[in-house]
Amino acid sequence: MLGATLSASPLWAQTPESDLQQRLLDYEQRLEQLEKQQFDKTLDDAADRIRINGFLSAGVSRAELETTSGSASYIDGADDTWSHDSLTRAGVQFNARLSDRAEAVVQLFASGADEFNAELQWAYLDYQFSDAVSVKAGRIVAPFYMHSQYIDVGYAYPWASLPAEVYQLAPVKTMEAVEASWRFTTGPVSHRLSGFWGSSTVDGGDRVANAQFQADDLSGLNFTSYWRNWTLRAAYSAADVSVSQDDLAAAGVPPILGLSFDEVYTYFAGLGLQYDDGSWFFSAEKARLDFGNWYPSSESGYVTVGKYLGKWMPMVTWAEVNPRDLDRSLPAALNNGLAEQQKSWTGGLRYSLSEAIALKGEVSYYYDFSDSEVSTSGFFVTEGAPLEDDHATVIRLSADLVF
Amino acid sequence: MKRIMFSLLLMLATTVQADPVVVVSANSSLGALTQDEVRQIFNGQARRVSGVSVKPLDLPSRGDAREAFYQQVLGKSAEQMKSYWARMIFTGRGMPPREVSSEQEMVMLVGSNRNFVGYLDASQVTPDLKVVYRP
Repeated sequence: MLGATLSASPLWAQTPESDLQQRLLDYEQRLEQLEKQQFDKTLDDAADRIRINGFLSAGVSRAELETTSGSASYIDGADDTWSHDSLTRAGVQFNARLSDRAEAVVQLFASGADEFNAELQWAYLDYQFSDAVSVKAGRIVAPFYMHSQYIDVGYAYPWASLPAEVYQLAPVKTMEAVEASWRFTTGPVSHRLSGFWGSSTVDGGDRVANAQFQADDLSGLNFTSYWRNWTLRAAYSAADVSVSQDDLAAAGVPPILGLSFDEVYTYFAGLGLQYDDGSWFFSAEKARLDFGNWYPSSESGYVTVGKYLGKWMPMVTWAEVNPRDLDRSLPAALNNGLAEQQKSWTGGLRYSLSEAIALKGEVSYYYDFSDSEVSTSGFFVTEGAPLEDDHATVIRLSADLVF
Repeated sequence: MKRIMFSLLLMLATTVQADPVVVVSANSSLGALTQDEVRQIFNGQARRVSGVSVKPLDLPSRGDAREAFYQQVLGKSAEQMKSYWARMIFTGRGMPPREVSSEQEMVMLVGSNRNFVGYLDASQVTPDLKVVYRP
Protein backbone atom coordinates (compact mmCIF):
# COMPACT_ATOMS: atom_id res chain seq x y z
CA MET A 1 0.00 0.00 0.00
CA LEU A 2 2.74 2.39 1.07
CA GLY A 3 4.91 1.20 -1.80
CA ALA A 4 2.06 1.85 -4.26
CA THR A 5 1.64 5.43 -3.01
CA LEU A 6 5.36 6.05 -3.14
CA SER A 7 5.79 4.72 -6.67
CA ALA A 8 2.77 6.72 -7.83
CA SER A 9 4.55 9.96 -6.91
CA PRO A 10 7.02 11.05 -9.56
CA LEU A 11 9.00 13.08 -6.98
CA TRP A 12 9.50 10.06 -4.75
CA ALA A 13 10.30 7.92 -7.73
CA GLN A 14 13.28 10.12 -8.59
CA THR A 15 14.67 10.17 -5.04
CA PRO A 16 17.60 7.83 -4.43
CA GLU A 17 16.82 4.97 -2.04
CA SER A 18 19.28 6.06 0.69
CA ASP A 19 17.71 9.53 0.79
CA LEU A 20 14.29 7.97 1.17
CA GLN A 21 15.48 5.88 4.10
CA GLN A 22 16.92 8.99 5.72
CA ARG A 23 13.59 10.81 5.33
CA LEU A 24 11.69 7.87 6.81
CA LEU A 25 14.05 7.86 9.77
CA ASP A 26 13.49 11.58 10.26
CA TYR A 27 9.74 11.12 10.18
CA GLU A 28 9.98 8.25 12.66
CA GLN A 29 11.98 10.45 15.02
CA ARG A 30 9.51 13.31 14.73
CA LEU A 31 6.66 10.91 15.40
CA GLU A 32 8.41 9.61 18.51
CA GLN A 33 8.99 13.18 19.64
CA LEU A 34 5.30 13.98 19.22
CA GLU A 35 4.32 10.82 21.12
CA LYS A 36 6.63 11.83 23.94
CA GLN A 37 5.11 15.30 24.10
CA GLN A 38 1.68 13.72 24.17
CA PHE A 39 2.70 11.50 27.12
CA ASP A 40 4.23 14.44 28.96
CA LYS A 41 1.06 16.42 28.39
CA THR A 42 -1.27 13.69 29.70
CA LEU A 43 0.98 13.36 32.71
CA ASP A 44 0.88 17.08 33.43
CA ASP A 45 -2.88 17.13 33.01
CA ALA A 46 -3.21 14.27 35.47
CA ALA A 47 -1.04 16.15 37.97
CA ASP A 48 -3.05 19.33 37.58
CA ARG A 49 -6.55 18.04 37.83
CA ILE A 50 -8.55 17.67 41.00
CA ARG A 51 -8.22 14.20 42.43
CA ILE A 52 -11.23 12.55 44.04
CA ASN A 53 -11.02 9.57 46.37
CA GLY A 54 -13.71 8.08 48.55
CA PHE A 55 -14.46 5.41 51.11
CA LEU A 56 -17.57 3.68 52.30
CA SER A 57 -18.39 1.18 55.02
CA ALA A 58 -21.76 -0.49 55.38
CA GLY A 59 -22.26 -2.56 58.48
CA VAL A 60 -24.64 -4.17 60.89
CA SER A 61 -24.07 -4.88 64.57
CA ARG A 62 -25.84 -6.41 67.50
CA ALA A 63 -25.13 -6.72 71.23
CA GLU A 64 -26.01 -9.68 73.44
CA LEU A 65 -26.51 -8.30 76.94
CA GLU A 66 -28.81 -8.52 79.95
CA THR A 67 -30.39 -5.65 81.85
CA THR A 68 -33.19 -5.94 84.41
CA SER A 69 -34.86 -2.77 83.15
CA GLY A 70 -34.24 -0.05 80.60
CA SER A 71 -31.90 -0.49 77.65
CA ALA A 72 -28.19 -0.67 76.99
CA SER A 73 -25.91 -0.32 73.99
CA TYR A 74 -22.20 -0.39 73.25
CA ILE A 75 -20.36 2.90 72.71
CA ASP A 76 -20.38 2.33 68.93
CA GLY A 77 -24.18 2.02 68.95
CA ALA A 78 -24.64 -1.78 68.96
CA ASP A 79 -27.76 -2.76 70.93
CA ASP A 80 -29.97 -5.85 71.27
CA THR A 81 -31.46 -5.58 67.78
CA TRP A 82 -29.56 -5.75 64.48
CA SER A 83 -28.85 -2.14 63.63
CA HIS A 84 -27.47 -0.78 60.38
CA ASP A 85 -26.60 2.71 61.47
CA SER A 86 -23.69 2.46 63.84
CA LEU A 87 -21.05 1.10 61.44
CA THR A 88 -22.32 2.73 58.24
CA ARG A 89 -20.36 5.73 57.04
CA ALA A 90 -18.90 7.30 53.91
CA GLY A 91 -16.52 10.04 52.88
CA VAL A 92 -15.34 11.78 49.74
CA GLN A 93 -12.05 13.61 49.51
CA PHE A 94 -11.05 16.24 46.97
CA ASN A 95 -7.38 17.08 46.49
CA ALA A 96 -6.88 20.19 44.40
CA ARG A 97 -3.37 21.12 43.35
CA LEU A 98 -2.92 24.90 43.50
CA SER A 99 0.75 25.04 42.52
CA ASP A 100 3.84 22.85 42.56
CA ARG A 101 3.96 23.18 46.31
CA ALA A 102 0.43 23.96 47.49
CA GLU A 103 -2.59 21.70 47.68
CA ALA A 104 -6.08 22.20 49.10
CA VAL A 105 -7.77 19.13 50.57
CA VAL A 106 -11.41 18.80 51.61
CA GLN A 107 -12.99 15.64 53.00
CA LEU A 108 -16.76 15.42 53.43
CA PHE A 109 -17.91 12.76 55.85
CA ALA A 110 -21.27 11.40 56.98
CA SER A 111 -22.07 8.55 59.34
CA GLY A 112 -25.10 6.65 60.57
CA ALA A 113 -23.98 7.38 64.12
CA ASP A 114 -24.53 11.07 63.33
CA GLU A 115 -27.76 10.60 61.33
CA PHE A 116 -25.81 11.09 58.08
CA ASN A 117 -25.37 14.81 58.56
CA ALA A 118 -22.48 15.63 56.26
CA GLU A 119 -19.60 17.42 57.93
CA LEU A 120 -16.18 18.64 56.92
CA GLN A 121 -13.84 16.20 58.57
CA TRP A 122 -10.68 17.49 56.90
CA ALA A 123 -10.31 20.89 55.21
CA TYR A 124 -6.76 22.15 55.00
CA LEU A 125 -4.14 23.81 52.93
CA ASP A 126 -0.95 21.80 52.53
CA TYR A 127 2.25 23.62 51.66
CA GLN A 128 5.34 21.65 50.70
CA PHE A 129 8.44 23.61 51.68
CA SER A 130 10.75 20.90 50.37
CA ASP A 131 10.72 17.16 49.66
CA ALA A 132 11.04 16.69 53.42
CA VAL A 133 9.03 19.44 55.12
CA SER A 134 5.34 20.24 54.75
CA VAL A 135 2.82 22.26 56.72
CA LYS A 136 -0.94 21.76 56.94
CA ALA A 137 -3.29 24.42 58.26
CA GLY A 138 -7.03 24.12 58.77
CA ARG A 139 -9.32 21.39 60.04
CA ILE A 140 -7.54 18.09 60.56
CA VAL A 141 -8.20 14.86 62.45
CA ALA A 142 -6.15 14.63 65.65
CA PRO A 143 -3.25 12.14 65.35
CA PHE A 144 -3.37 10.82 68.94
CA TYR A 145 -2.92 7.10 68.28
CA MET A 146 -1.56 4.94 65.47
CA HIS A 147 -4.79 4.57 63.48
CA SER A 148 -6.67 7.67 64.74
CA GLN A 149 -6.48 9.67 61.55
CA TYR A 150 -8.20 7.02 59.39
CA ILE A 151 -10.55 5.55 62.00
CA ASP A 152 -13.50 6.01 59.59
CA VAL A 153 -11.80 4.39 56.59
CA GLY A 154 -12.60 0.75 57.34
CA TYR A 155 -10.71 -0.48 54.27
CA ALA A 156 -7.48 0.96 55.71
CA TYR A 157 -7.27 -1.56 58.58
CA PRO A 158 -8.16 -5.22 59.12
CA TRP A 159 -10.53 -4.84 62.12
CA ALA A 160 -14.27 -4.30 61.58
CA SER A 161 -14.00 -1.72 64.36
CA LEU A 162 -10.83 -0.45 66.06
CA PRO A 163 -10.45 -1.48 69.74
CA ALA A 164 -12.67 0.94 71.72
CA GLU A 165 -10.41 0.63 74.78
CA VAL A 166 -7.84 2.78 72.96
CA TYR A 167 -9.78 4.51 70.18
CA GLN A 168 -12.89 5.58 72.13
CA LEU A 169 -10.96 6.67 75.21
CA ALA A 170 -10.76 10.31 74.15
CA PRO A 171 -13.50 10.99 71.62
CA VAL A 172 -11.50 13.85 70.10
CA LYS A 173 -11.68 13.70 66.35
CA THR A 174 -11.27 16.91 64.45
CA MET A 175 -9.39 19.99 65.51
CA GLU A 176 -8.55 23.35 64.00
CA ALA A 177 -4.80 23.33 63.88
CA VAL A 178 -1.48 23.87 62.17
CA GLU A 179 0.64 20.76 61.68
CA ALA A 180 4.23 20.65 60.46
CA SER A 181 5.84 17.40 59.46
CA TRP A 182 9.37 16.44 58.59
CA ARG A 183 10.34 13.27 56.79
CA PHE A 184 13.88 11.95 56.84
CA THR A 185 15.76 8.69 56.52
CA THR A 186 18.66 7.22 58.47
CA GLY A 187 20.03 4.39 56.37
CA PRO A 188 17.33 1.75 55.92
CA VAL A 189 14.98 3.41 58.46
CA SER A 190 12.66 6.22 57.41
CA HIS A 191 11.04 8.58 59.90
CA ARG A 192 8.25 11.10 60.14
CA LEU A 193 8.22 13.69 62.91
CA SER A 194 5.22 15.93 63.21
CA GLY A 195 4.05 18.57 65.61
CA PHE A 196 0.70 20.36 65.81
CA TRP A 197 -0.98 23.18 67.69
CA GLY A 198 -4.67 24.06 67.71
CA SER A 199 -7.94 23.74 69.57
CA SER A 200 -11.04 21.57 69.59
CA THR A 201 -14.43 21.16 71.23
CA VAL A 202 -15.03 17.53 72.07
CA ASP A 203 -18.40 15.90 72.60
CA GLY A 204 -17.89 13.43 75.46
CA GLY A 205 -20.63 11.15 74.11
CA ASP A 206 -23.74 9.51 75.54
CA ARG A 207 -22.07 8.16 78.63
CA VAL A 208 -21.46 11.66 80.00
CA ALA A 209 -24.72 13.18 78.66
CA ASN A 210 -22.83 14.72 75.72
CA ALA A 211 -20.84 17.05 77.96
CA GLN A 212 -18.69 19.45 75.88
CA PHE A 213 -14.97 19.33 76.66
CA GLN A 214 -13.30 22.48 75.37
CA ALA A 215 -9.63 21.73 74.58
CA ASP A 216 -7.47 24.84 74.18
CA ASP A 217 -3.79 24.96 73.31
CA LEU A 218 -4.14 21.42 72.01
CA SER A 219 -0.64 20.53 70.92
CA GLY A 220 1.39 17.43 70.37
CA LEU A 221 4.35 15.67 68.87
CA ASN A 222 4.40 12.32 67.19
CA PHE A 223 7.27 10.34 65.83
CA THR A 224 6.94 7.36 63.51
CA SER A 225 9.75 5.16 62.23
CA TYR A 226 9.46 2.61 59.44
CA TRP A 227 11.97 -0.18 58.98
CA ARG A 228 11.12 -2.88 56.46
CA ASN A 229 7.91 -4.44 57.79
CA TRP A 230 8.02 -2.70 61.16
CA THR A 231 6.39 0.56 62.23
CA LEU A 232 7.07 2.14 65.61
CA ARG A 233 5.13 5.17 66.76
CA ALA A 234 5.31 7.35 69.85
CA ALA A 235 2.99 10.28 70.49
CA TYR A 236 2.34 12.80 73.22
CA SER A 237 -0.41 15.41 73.03
CA ALA A 238 -1.68 17.80 75.67
CA ALA A 239 -4.38 20.46 76.13
CA ASP A 240 -5.98 22.76 78.66
CA VAL A 241 -9.44 21.26 79.02
CA SER A 242 -12.53 22.99 80.40
CA VAL A 243 -16.09 21.75 81.01
CA SER A 244 -18.94 24.08 81.99
CA GLN A 245 -20.66 23.59 85.38
CA ASP A 246 -23.95 22.78 83.65
CA ASP A 247 -22.38 20.08 81.51
CA LEU A 248 -20.61 18.62 84.55
CA ALA A 249 -23.90 18.40 86.41
CA ALA A 250 -25.55 16.73 83.42
CA ALA A 251 -22.67 14.23 83.26
CA GLY A 252 -23.51 13.12 86.80
CA VAL A 253 -21.23 15.28 88.93
CA PRO A 254 -23.49 16.63 91.72
CA PRO A 255 -23.00 20.43 92.05
CA ILE A 256 -23.04 19.98 95.83
CA LEU A 257 -19.54 18.46 95.66
CA GLY A 258 -18.26 21.86 94.53
CA LEU A 259 -16.07 20.33 91.80
CA SER A 260 -15.06 22.34 88.78
CA PHE A 261 -13.22 21.57 85.53
CA ASP A 262 -11.39 24.65 84.40
CA GLU A 263 -8.31 24.68 82.16
CA VAL A 264 -7.12 21.33 83.42
CA TYR A 265 -3.82 20.09 81.95
CA THR A 266 -4.73 16.87 80.16
CA TYR A 267 -2.45 14.62 78.17
CA PHE A 268 -2.79 11.71 75.78
CA ALA A 269 0.25 9.49 75.35
CA GLY A 270 0.54 6.53 73.03
CA LEU A 271 3.13 3.98 72.02
CA GLY A 272 2.46 1.65 69.10
CA LEU A 273 4.26 -1.15 67.29
CA GLN A 274 3.12 -2.79 64.08
CA TYR A 275 4.49 -5.58 61.89
CA ASP A 276 3.09 -6.52 58.49
CA ASP A 277 5.11 -8.66 56.10
CA GLY A 278 2.17 -9.55 53.89
CA SER A 279 1.95 -12.95 55.57
CA TRP A 280 1.56 -12.07 59.27
CA PHE A 281 0.00 -8.98 60.84
CA PHE A 282 0.78 -7.82 64.35
CA SER A 283 -0.26 -4.60 66.02
CA ALA A 284 0.02 -3.50 69.65
CA GLU A 285 -0.58 -0.15 71.32
CA LYS A 286 -0.50 1.30 74.79
CA ALA A 287 -2.37 4.52 75.56
CA ARG A 288 -2.86 6.83 78.51
CA LEU A 289 -5.38 9.61 79.00
CA ASP A 290 -4.48 11.66 82.05
CA PHE A 291 -6.50 14.48 83.58
CA GLY A 292 -4.52 16.63 85.99
CA ASN A 293 -7.44 16.87 88.44
CA TRP A 294 -10.05 14.70 90.18
CA TYR A 295 -11.47 13.33 86.89
CA PRO A 296 -10.49 9.62 86.57
CA SER A 297 -7.51 8.96 84.27
CA SER A 298 -7.22 5.78 82.20
CA GLU A 299 -4.58 3.47 80.82
CA SER A 300 -5.34 1.06 78.01
CA GLY A 301 -3.85 -1.15 75.35
CA TYR A 302 -4.43 -3.92 72.85
CA VAL A 303 -2.57 -6.66 71.01
CA THR A 304 -3.74 -8.05 67.65
CA VAL A 305 -2.34 -10.95 65.65
CA GLY A 306 -3.63 -11.87 62.20
CA LYS A 307 -2.59 -14.22 59.41
CA TYR A 308 -3.03 -13.57 55.70
CA LEU A 309 -4.30 -16.76 54.01
CA GLY A 310 -4.90 -15.85 50.37
CA LYS A 311 -8.07 -13.78 50.34
CA TRP A 312 -8.82 -14.61 53.98
CA MET A 313 -7.42 -13.14 57.13
CA PRO A 314 -8.37 -14.51 60.55
CA MET A 315 -7.30 -12.39 63.51
CA VAL A 316 -7.59 -12.17 67.26
CA THR A 317 -7.40 -9.11 69.53
CA TRP A 318 -7.05 -8.72 73.27
CA ALA A 319 -7.66 -5.31 74.80
CA GLU A 320 -8.11 -3.69 78.18
CA VAL A 321 -8.67 -0.32 79.84
CA ASN A 322 -8.20 0.44 83.54
CA PRO A 323 -8.67 3.52 85.71
CA ARG A 324 -5.55 5.21 87.09
CA ASP A 325 -5.09 7.59 90.05
CA LEU A 326 -8.69 7.46 91.30
CA ASP A 327 -9.44 10.23 93.79
CA ARG A 328 -10.58 8.18 96.82
CA SER A 329 -11.96 11.24 98.62
CA LEU A 330 -14.75 11.42 96.05
CA PRO A 331 -17.99 9.46 96.46
CA ALA A 332 -17.58 5.94 95.04
CA ALA A 333 -20.67 6.47 92.86
CA LEU A 334 -18.96 9.34 91.06
CA ASN A 335 -15.81 7.34 90.31
CA ASN A 336 -17.96 4.41 89.20
CA GLY A 337 -19.80 6.67 86.81
CA LEU A 338 -16.74 8.26 85.20
CA ALA A 339 -13.95 5.67 85.40
CA GLU A 340 -13.23 3.29 82.49
CA GLN A 341 -12.73 -0.40 83.10
CA GLN A 342 -13.11 -3.25 80.63
CA LYS A 343 -11.30 -6.17 79.05
CA SER A 344 -12.14 -7.85 75.75
CA TRP A 345 -11.36 -10.69 73.36
CA THR A 346 -12.25 -10.23 69.70
CA GLY A 347 -12.12 -12.84 66.97
CA GLY A 348 -12.37 -11.50 63.44
CA LEU A 349 -12.27 -12.64 59.84
CA ARG A 350 -11.56 -10.45 56.80
CA TYR A 351 -12.29 -11.56 53.26
CA SER A 352 -10.99 -9.71 50.23
CA LEU A 353 -13.88 -9.67 47.75
CA SER A 354 -11.95 -7.68 45.16
CA GLU A 355 -8.95 -5.37 45.12
CA ALA A 356 -11.04 -2.54 46.60
CA ILE A 357 -13.74 -4.30 48.67
CA ALA A 358 -13.30 -6.14 51.97
CA LEU A 359 -15.91 -8.07 53.95
CA LYS A 360 -15.41 -8.40 57.69
CA GLY A 361 -17.01 -10.23 60.56
CA GLU A 362 -16.12 -9.84 64.21
CA VAL A 363 -17.28 -11.18 67.57
CA SER A 364 -16.19 -9.29 70.70
CA TYR A 365 -16.57 -10.57 74.23
CA TYR A 366 -16.34 -7.77 76.81
CA TYR A 367 -15.82 -8.56 80.51
CA ASP A 368 -14.40 -7.45 83.88
CA PHE A 369 -16.23 -4.12 84.11
CA SER A 370 -16.09 -4.27 87.90
CA ASP A 371 -13.70 -5.35 90.61
CA SER A 372 -13.11 -4.49 94.28
CA GLU A 373 -11.87 -1.00 93.31
CA VAL A 374 -14.48 0.27 90.93
CA SER A 375 -17.81 -0.80 89.49
CA THR A 376 -18.58 0.29 85.89
CA SER A 377 -20.53 -0.79 82.82
CA GLY A 378 -17.42 -0.82 80.63
CA PHE A 379 -17.97 0.99 77.34
CA PHE A 380 -21.71 0.23 77.51
CA VAL A 381 -24.23 3.04 77.77
CA THR A 382 -27.08 2.09 80.10
CA GLU A 383 -30.41 3.79 80.45
CA GLY A 384 -32.11 2.47 83.56
CA ALA A 385 -30.59 -0.45 85.43
CA PRO A 386 -26.90 -1.32 84.99
CA LEU A 387 -25.82 -4.45 83.10
CA GLU A 388 -26.95 -7.57 84.91
CA ASP A 389 -23.77 -9.53 84.14
CA ASP A 390 -20.14 -8.52 84.25
CA HIS A 391 -19.84 -9.40 80.55
CA ALA A 392 -21.54 -8.86 77.17
CA THR A 393 -20.98 -9.78 73.52
CA VAL A 394 -21.12 -7.69 70.35
CA ILE A 395 -21.23 -9.04 66.78
CA ARG A 396 -20.29 -6.82 63.81
CA LEU A 397 -20.45 -7.44 60.06
CA SER A 398 -19.25 -4.89 57.55
CA ALA A 399 -18.33 -4.28 53.93
CA ASP A 400 -15.58 -1.72 53.47
CA LEU A 401 -14.51 -0.22 50.18
CA VAL A 402 -12.45 2.57 48.68
CA PHE A 403 -12.80 4.25 45.31
CA MET B 1 -6.86 -31.97 26.54
CA LYS B 2 -3.13 -32.52 26.56
CA ARG B 3 -2.68 -29.30 24.63
CA ILE B 4 -4.80 -27.37 27.18
CA MET B 5 -2.75 -28.81 30.00
CA PHE B 6 0.42 -27.82 28.21
CA SER B 7 -0.69 -24.24 27.58
CA LEU B 8 -1.85 -23.96 31.21
CA LEU B 9 1.58 -25.09 32.34
CA LEU B 10 3.17 -22.60 29.98
CA MET B 11 0.98 -19.80 31.39
CA LEU B 12 1.89 -20.82 34.92
CA ALA B 13 5.57 -20.83 33.98
CA THR B 14 5.38 -17.32 32.50
CA THR B 15 3.64 -15.89 35.58
CA VAL B 16 6.17 -17.45 37.91
CA GLN B 17 9.03 -16.24 35.74
CA ALA B 18 7.87 -12.59 35.63
CA ASP B 19 11.23 -10.96 36.25
CA PRO B 20 10.70 -7.29 37.17
CA VAL B 21 13.67 -4.93 37.35
CA VAL B 22 13.73 -1.31 38.55
CA VAL B 23 14.73 1.21 35.88
CA VAL B 24 15.65 4.88 35.58
CA SER B 25 16.68 6.99 32.61
CA ALA B 26 20.09 6.11 31.17
CA ASN B 27 20.99 9.79 31.83
CA SER B 28 20.10 9.60 35.52
CA SER B 29 22.92 10.04 38.01
CA LEU B 30 21.41 7.33 40.21
CA GLY B 31 23.51 4.22 40.65
CA ALA B 32 22.42 0.86 42.01
CA LEU B 33 19.62 1.08 44.60
CA THR B 34 19.22 -1.13 47.66
CA GLN B 35 15.99 -3.01 48.36
CA ASP B 36 15.27 -0.62 51.24
CA GLU B 37 15.60 2.39 48.93
CA VAL B 38 13.29 0.81 46.34
CA ARG B 39 10.73 0.08 49.06
CA GLN B 40 10.95 3.64 50.39
CA ILE B 41 10.49 5.09 46.88
CA PHE B 42 7.46 2.95 46.06
CA ASN B 43 5.66 3.38 49.38
CA GLY B 44 6.18 7.14 49.24
CA GLN B 45 8.47 7.44 52.27
CA ALA B 46 11.45 8.77 50.29
CA ARG B 47 11.11 11.51 47.71
CA ARG B 48 14.84 12.00 47.33
CA VAL B 49 17.53 9.34 47.01
CA SER B 50 21.27 10.17 46.97
CA GLY B 51 20.34 13.82 46.39
CA VAL B 52 18.15 13.05 43.38
CA SER B 53 14.43 13.84 43.49
CA VAL B 54 12.52 10.66 42.58
CA LYS B 55 9.00 10.12 41.22
CA PRO B 56 7.82 6.50 41.11
CA LEU B 57 5.59 5.22 38.29
CA ASP B 58 3.30 2.18 38.44
CA LEU B 59 2.37 -0.22 35.66
CA PRO B 60 -1.40 -0.70 35.15
CA SER B 61 -3.09 -2.63 37.97
CA ARG B 62 -3.92 -6.30 37.44
CA GLY B 63 -0.77 -6.81 35.38
CA ASP B 64 1.61 -9.69 36.10
CA ALA B 65 4.70 -7.48 36.24
CA ARG B 66 3.12 -5.15 38.81
CA GLU B 67 1.95 -8.05 40.99
CA ALA B 68 5.39 -9.67 40.77
CA PHE B 69 7.18 -6.41 41.59
CA TYR B 70 5.19 -5.68 44.74
CA GLN B 71 5.26 -9.30 45.85
CA GLN B 72 9.02 -9.68 45.36
CA VAL B 73 10.22 -6.28 46.56
CA LEU B 74 7.69 -5.15 49.19
CA GLY B 75 6.20 -8.56 50.00
CA LYS B 76 2.69 -7.15 49.56
CA SER B 77 -0.32 -8.13 47.47
CA ALA B 78 -2.37 -5.65 45.41
CA GLU B 79 -5.03 -5.50 48.18
CA GLN B 80 -2.42 -4.89 50.86
CA MET B 81 -0.95 -2.00 48.88
CA LYS B 82 -4.44 -0.60 48.29
CA SER B 83 -5.10 -0.64 52.01
CA TYR B 84 -1.71 1.01 52.66
CA TRP B 85 -2.50 3.80 50.20
CA ALA B 86 -5.96 4.30 51.73
CA ARG B 87 -4.14 5.09 55.00
CA MET B 88 -1.89 7.60 53.22
CA ILE B 89 -4.47 9.29 50.97
CA PHE B 90 -7.14 9.91 53.61
CA THR B 91 -4.65 11.34 56.10
CA GLY B 92 -2.92 13.60 53.57
CA ARG B 93 0.40 11.78 53.88
CA GLY B 94 0.83 10.85 50.25
CA MET B 95 -0.57 9.67 46.95
CA PRO B 96 0.23 6.38 45.22
CA PRO B 97 2.67 6.39 42.28
CA ARG B 98 1.17 7.69 39.05
CA GLU B 99 -0.09 4.83 36.91
CA VAL B 100 1.06 4.61 33.29
CA SER B 101 -1.21 3.11 30.64
CA SER B 102 1.21 0.51 29.26
CA GLU B 103 4.73 -0.92 29.32
CA GLN B 104 5.45 1.19 26.23
CA GLU B 105 4.51 4.38 28.09
CA MET B 106 6.67 3.30 31.03
CA VAL B 107 9.69 2.91 28.71
CA MET B 108 8.98 6.26 27.04
CA LEU B 109 8.46 8.23 30.28
CA VAL B 110 11.33 6.80 32.29
CA GLY B 111 13.64 7.20 29.28
CA SER B 112 12.73 10.86 28.88
CA ASN B 113 12.78 12.15 32.48
CA ARG B 114 15.62 11.69 34.96
CA ASN B 115 13.31 11.87 37.98
CA PHE B 116 11.08 8.94 37.12
CA VAL B 117 11.68 5.52 38.64
CA GLY B 118 9.78 2.61 37.15
CA TYR B 119 9.84 -1.14 36.87
CA LEU B 120 9.50 -3.47 33.93
CA ASP B 121 9.98 -7.04 32.97
CA ALA B 122 13.72 -7.45 32.33
CA SER B 123 13.01 -8.46 28.71
CA GLN B 124 11.56 -4.99 27.97
CA VAL B 125 14.51 -2.86 29.03
CA THR B 126 15.73 -0.59 26.19
CA PRO B 127 19.06 1.27 25.74
CA ASP B 128 17.34 4.49 27.00
CA LEU B 129 16.98 2.85 30.42
CA LYS B 130 19.33 1.85 33.18
CA VAL B 131 18.60 -1.04 35.52
CA VAL B 132 19.22 0.08 39.13
CA TYR B 133 17.77 -2.85 41.05
CA ARG B 134 17.10 -6.55 40.45
CA PRO B 135 15.09 -8.38 43.13
